[in-house]
Amino acid sequence: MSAELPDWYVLKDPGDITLDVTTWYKFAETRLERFLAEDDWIINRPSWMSNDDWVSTISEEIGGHLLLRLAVSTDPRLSSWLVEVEGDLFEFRFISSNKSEERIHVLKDLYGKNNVKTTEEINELFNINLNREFNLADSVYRSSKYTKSKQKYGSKVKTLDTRLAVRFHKIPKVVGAKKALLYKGWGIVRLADIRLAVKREFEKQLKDVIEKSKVLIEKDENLEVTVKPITDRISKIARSTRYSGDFKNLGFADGDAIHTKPDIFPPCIQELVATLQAKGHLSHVENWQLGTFLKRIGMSVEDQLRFWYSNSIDNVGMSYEEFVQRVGYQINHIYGKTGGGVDYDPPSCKTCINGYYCYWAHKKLEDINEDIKVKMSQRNSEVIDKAIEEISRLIINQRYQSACARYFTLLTGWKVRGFQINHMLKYSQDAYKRFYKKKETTTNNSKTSDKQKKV
Amino acid sequence: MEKKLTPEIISAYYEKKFPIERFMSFIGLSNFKNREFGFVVGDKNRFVRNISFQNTEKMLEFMVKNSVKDAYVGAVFDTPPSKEHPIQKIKWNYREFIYDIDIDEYDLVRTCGCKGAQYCKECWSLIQDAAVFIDQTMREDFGFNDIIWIFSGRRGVHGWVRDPIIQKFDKNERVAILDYLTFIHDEKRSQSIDEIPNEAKPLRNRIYALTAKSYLEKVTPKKLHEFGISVNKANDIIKQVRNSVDFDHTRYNILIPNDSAFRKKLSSEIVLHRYPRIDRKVTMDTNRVSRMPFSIHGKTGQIAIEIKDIKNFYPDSAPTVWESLM
Repeated sequence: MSAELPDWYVLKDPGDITLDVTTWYKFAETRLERFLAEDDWIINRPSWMSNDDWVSTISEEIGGHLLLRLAVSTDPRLSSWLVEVEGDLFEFRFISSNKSEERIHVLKDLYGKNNVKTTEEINELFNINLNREFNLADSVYRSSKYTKSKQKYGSKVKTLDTRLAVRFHKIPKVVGAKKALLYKGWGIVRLADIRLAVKREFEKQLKDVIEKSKVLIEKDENLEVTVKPITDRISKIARSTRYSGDFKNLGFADGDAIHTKPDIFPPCIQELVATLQAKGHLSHVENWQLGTFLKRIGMSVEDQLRFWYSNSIDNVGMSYEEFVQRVGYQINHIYGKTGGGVDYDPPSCKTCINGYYCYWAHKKLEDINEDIKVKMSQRNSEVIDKAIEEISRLIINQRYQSACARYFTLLTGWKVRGFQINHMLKYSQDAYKRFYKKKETTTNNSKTSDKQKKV
Repeated sequence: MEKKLTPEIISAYYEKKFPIERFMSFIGLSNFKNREFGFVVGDKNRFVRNISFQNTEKMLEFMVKNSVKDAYVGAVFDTPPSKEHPIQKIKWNYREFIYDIDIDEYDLVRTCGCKGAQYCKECWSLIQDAAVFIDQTMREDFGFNDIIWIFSGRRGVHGWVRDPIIQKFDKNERVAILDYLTFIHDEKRSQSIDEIPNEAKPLRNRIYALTAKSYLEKVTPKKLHEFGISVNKANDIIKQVRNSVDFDHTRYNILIPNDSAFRKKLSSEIVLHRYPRIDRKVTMDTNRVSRMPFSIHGKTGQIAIEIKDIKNFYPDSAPTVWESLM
């Protein structure tokens, strides 16, 4: 199987690679630089390149990738970053490859070899002609739908319209969104409709192998020391590339205790706070998500230590001082006061969807609908029902950031530029503008009118 | 006079008439001792679960001795469920995929006057249509073969899909099947609906062939006229549908042109009024217990029999415990 997989596919078994440490660093550095520069990546061997050069290019890529895997394995934030950039690169190559057999082999590797077939194989298996049975040949290329994709993929629009067959339970989201033609347990899908699911599966499997490589680092101190320079380098890069916008200057009024205004928290943070208060604990990445958010909206280290002490069950029978001593280092780490001294930002929405907590991606649809109804019980029920319906559709179509934007509009009456929320801090920044800056104005006005009345 | 379901009657049924072999062929012989059961017992109708049995004799002995009013069967775990080992603390192994269709789910769109658990020939046809639609979808679209329908004993039917692969499905995989079949997303299910999809062609074609046919056979010309066509045209459509012996999506497409505003409104109405309404929570929850096939319904005394011909099944034809003991 591996022999048929394309060389660029980083989940492929690399076989034996022998490298000296200096070369290994160089490869990893090069890969990092290329991610940063959003470089053009080669998919197939160009006609002008010799076979030897091609082999060394690929070895460089795979070697670099393997070191990056090891380097991020002990830090979930760095691991999320790598999964994200490798996922983007995988998606680009998967779609751009002009060899359809390559795509099929990659899919077979990701979903299992018995779970993927070509439409021709399905025709043969069931003695049917799918095109004739379901008028598929009449379908025109949906170029208008892919206007944006066209800019990104150019002539690949035709490729995006290619159909293939995947066992339906391997692509549950695509099936649930009714984007697959189901036939006897097989989802006949366009590449365009499956590419996101394929990318997610790749990211999931990459995350798993990174998790496994953590054991190697934990067992071997020398290896940990070897990868440390690369870990530090990624840490810096991840920090500088992952977050757009200046989240240290959110425009909150001086002295305004934003953390006491939960109505401007995005749904993910509201949910994490509620879960923490109800259960007394969160997962490691959720702790990180909530902690970095609270930091960036202005909560001091001391306030946050108090917040976690009063809400988590870890502290039963523990004095505050003991708590600070035992658990406080995590909070201090978030503030850059321990560890590498990095002043961390909260993860982006995309990262939350893939590895942290996103209210829209991870909570049950029924419960979301119920939450909105309860929260908006005073509002016009027709408006709420319509919004719930729209939000449900967006969630079903996996457009979680747009669902969040639609919810924001329902809550505030303000439209979101680009119709998607990209970062939890941006949500809070805008909610603050809507609810508190306006209130300040209103309060000032009402003070004026009071004075006028008195006069 | 209404008959009383006494403990003696219940015990007599489980001792003499309960078809244990059929029940066992239903849930399968393997791992019986690791399967969860639940029962309603005693004067206070206490619901007990986390119960398992070494063998079928022990199960029947329990049911006879406690005169269980309602009996339920749940999932299979890696160890026998018990008070000491409740299902939350043991590893889940597998569970049949179960549909629950109840007539009261249609209360908002029933026009016959029935409410709640009441039903008549007119509204029960909604249950028949739903079961036929789901049965066909599970076989043709999802490729499952082992599907059995059971009367719930009161106001609905349960569809058990028993193919080995589906029994292992986790919640996400079960939800995918439900989402594929779901068009209305709010709880009351009275809102406008998802558009009938273009890509999921077999599902779309089935809606036109089964659901639309059923709707158009029963609708009044006046109602169709409200959607923007003349009464004459409405009469013509209804007549053609009623006279058609092999109505399918092609016929529907000829009758109702694709680009008309009428078609859009009609599609919405068809799904809203006649499309299957599934209790999603029952299907999604892999730990839920379901009425035991061939058991007695504690409120009606009817037996939860296997339905051979779902298209023509009507609850009155299911025997009661009193009839069974005669």
